[in-house]
Amino acid sequence: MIADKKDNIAPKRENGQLKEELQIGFIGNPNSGKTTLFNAYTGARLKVANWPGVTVEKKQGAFKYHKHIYKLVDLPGIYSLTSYSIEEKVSRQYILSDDVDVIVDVADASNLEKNLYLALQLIEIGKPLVLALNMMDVVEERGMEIDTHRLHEMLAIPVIPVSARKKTGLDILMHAVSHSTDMDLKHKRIMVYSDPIEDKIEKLVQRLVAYDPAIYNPRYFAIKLLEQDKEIMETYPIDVSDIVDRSYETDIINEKYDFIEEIVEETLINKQEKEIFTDKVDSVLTHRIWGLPIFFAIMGLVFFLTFALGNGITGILEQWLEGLGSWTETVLTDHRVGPVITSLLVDGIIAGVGTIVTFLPNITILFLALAFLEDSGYMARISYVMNGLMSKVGLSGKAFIPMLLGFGCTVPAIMATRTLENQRDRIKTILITPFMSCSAKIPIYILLSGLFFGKFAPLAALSMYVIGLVTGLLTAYLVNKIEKGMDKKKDKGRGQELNQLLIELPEYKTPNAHSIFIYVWENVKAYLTKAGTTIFLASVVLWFILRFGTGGFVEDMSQSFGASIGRILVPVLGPAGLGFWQIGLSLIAGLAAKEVVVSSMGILFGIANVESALGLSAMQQSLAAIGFGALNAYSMMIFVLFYTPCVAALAVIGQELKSIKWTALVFAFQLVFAWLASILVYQIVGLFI
Amino acid sequence: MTLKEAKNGKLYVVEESTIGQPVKRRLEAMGLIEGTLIRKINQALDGSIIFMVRGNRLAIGKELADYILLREALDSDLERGRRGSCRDHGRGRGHGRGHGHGRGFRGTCARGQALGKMLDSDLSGMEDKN
Repeated sequence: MIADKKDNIAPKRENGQLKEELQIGFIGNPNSGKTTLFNAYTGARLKVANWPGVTVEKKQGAFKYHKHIYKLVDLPGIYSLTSYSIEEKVSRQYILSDDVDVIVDVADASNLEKNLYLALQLIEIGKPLVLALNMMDVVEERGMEIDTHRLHEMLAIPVIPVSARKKTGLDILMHAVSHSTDMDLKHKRIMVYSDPIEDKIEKLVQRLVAYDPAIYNPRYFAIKLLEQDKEIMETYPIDVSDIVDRSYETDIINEKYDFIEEIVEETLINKQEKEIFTDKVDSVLTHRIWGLPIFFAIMGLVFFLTFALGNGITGILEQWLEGLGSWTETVLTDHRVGPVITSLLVDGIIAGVGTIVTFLPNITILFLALAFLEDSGYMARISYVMNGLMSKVGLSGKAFIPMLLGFGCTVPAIMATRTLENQRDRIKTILITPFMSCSAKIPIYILLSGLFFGKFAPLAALSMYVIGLVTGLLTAYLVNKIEKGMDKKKDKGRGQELNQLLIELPEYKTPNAHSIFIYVWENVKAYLTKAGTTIFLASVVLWFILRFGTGGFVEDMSQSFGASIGRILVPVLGPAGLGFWQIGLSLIAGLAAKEVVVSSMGILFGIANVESALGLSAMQQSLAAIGFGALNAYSMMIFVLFYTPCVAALAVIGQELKSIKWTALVFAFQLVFAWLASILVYQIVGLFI
Repeated sequence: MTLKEAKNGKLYVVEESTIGQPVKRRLEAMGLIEGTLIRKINQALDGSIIFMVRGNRLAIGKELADYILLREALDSDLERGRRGSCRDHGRGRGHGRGHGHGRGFRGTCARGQALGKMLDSDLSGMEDKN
């Protein structure tokens, strides 16, 4: 739409040269729709949801506008430009850097007042700035009006109403951006402070200019010096103690809010009571007594749907796949393809990758449910509802958001810990998030519980989530105790407040079909991609090591290299009831991706029976034949629940902890923990049966 | 009184926030500054609190709530807005202001009154929740 427009504006010139590239930075409060806007321009499908802190990384994209390439940068949402949290620092550094040509402040117009604080700070920086009033469709729906003309007069920057969701105003916004490259806000005083403060600013400006004649926007740095901003004080180490006798930060903040009130008063017409709906929903969902039981009921329902509903559809897929297996075999035999290749295709790839694909319905349902939780606005409430429980283990309720995301995939869940302000909380949360069973473990639970627990299968699967959650919380509790013991000598004082819950609760909204679709599709696609790459490769490798031994091609897999590898683990896994080379091998293979445990079992036990088209029951017989029963299965589920997450998760843990030593420790901890837990379950439960 | 002792659905004025840095700064950026009207919405069993300030709906933990001191909002607060009185804007607004036309010193407290009205309607919608 944008790219196809005829070029009807003069191209921007800089020093008389045509400027081919413009870099535009999207900044704004959390949950103001920056990523939705970014997606609308670039066609990207970055995750959007209705809770603050979805975007934790700087993301780049590009699009064509009037024959020019515009680069867009989507930044994590921030409330202010102080240098307290990591995101704020990163965003401020980016904005002050030379990389960015025009800043677009994306504001939620339906809640103008709270978005203006950041806007005023951005204006003070003095870089080319455009205010995008996002969510104008919501403003109109509510019968509110914003006098954008007056807003523009008061702020002296272009003010463009847009709706990222409805894709309106996008062209006009970029038009304004393209005309704003040489905007000079530095010499305009938009936010004028009271006389005593203005006097100090004036004096500081003189000092700063004397210190550095080439200084960029001395007024901004003068204000920062008045606020005693550490970073700026280090950049400009001049003695201003005669002017800055104390921190004027509070004064400056208060005066900004005075101005904001003035702006709201003059530009906002018909401010409505839109909160009533949210209040009503909240009176149930965040009820002081029922809030927590309701949350657990919702989660129970999510997993029940995942296992019960998903399985019906899985059955159909399974039949279809068995059909594909025997059809492939017939075709290949008809075309006189050698038995080795046929075996690779049918017993290796179709058995391995196919087994994984059959679990797609379950995965889809889980992500659909998570998408609803995230897009409705409930997600942020969960941190409030869970805060009591979480604070008992020394974490804030906010730490539960990454944990909940961990039920989907550990990788983005670990990334989401970035929203936690306290570094220790982050490490603890990173440690326990892998205990929240990710979607890749679903096939294992379904397979094993379906094989051995009959009608109690969903219950057995559900118990994994409960055990995982409880263990995670207990681990956090223990770590917290140890920490407290270590801290006894040190007086921590007020730093402790950093791990207190503080989160903005967005208004509830009907989940957006498009965002839900993107969310589910991106996850389903990732799952299928994994089936086509990691699992495919693992299946091929497994087939090879299971079909070849020291004597070349082997019919009996117990003579293969694979069997020899698996046998190494037999004595170790014996006490856990998992002392079978087949199981050992699947568990090793599962380090690549958890689904591989299932695909390798498909190859190991399904291999001779694909033709008989009996799928699960055939596998059950093969397992029973080696003495693997219900208790062994449950012990294996426990092991899988706890043991080291996949390679990708481990990589992201390493990236976030920034320490190989710690990552190795996490890896070892989880491996040992899984081993001990499965032994415990197998031995103790074994006493009673 | 502290935020914890406040009643659900009622309006208060923030008197003092003794929260340590940097959390205090974060709360200020979210609109919680001294003199601001605040509406408590909900309190959980563990003492976590949901409240509304400047259009922000915030959830905070018990320990933070203990450090936020309030007083009951008086009619005058609702009428006059945030600071309980309109401060004298003797700050020479207008000089050097971007598009300075049409902006002058506002002697009356029109904005405060409007704010008061807004919050009144806020109250009427909420009081039955108590």
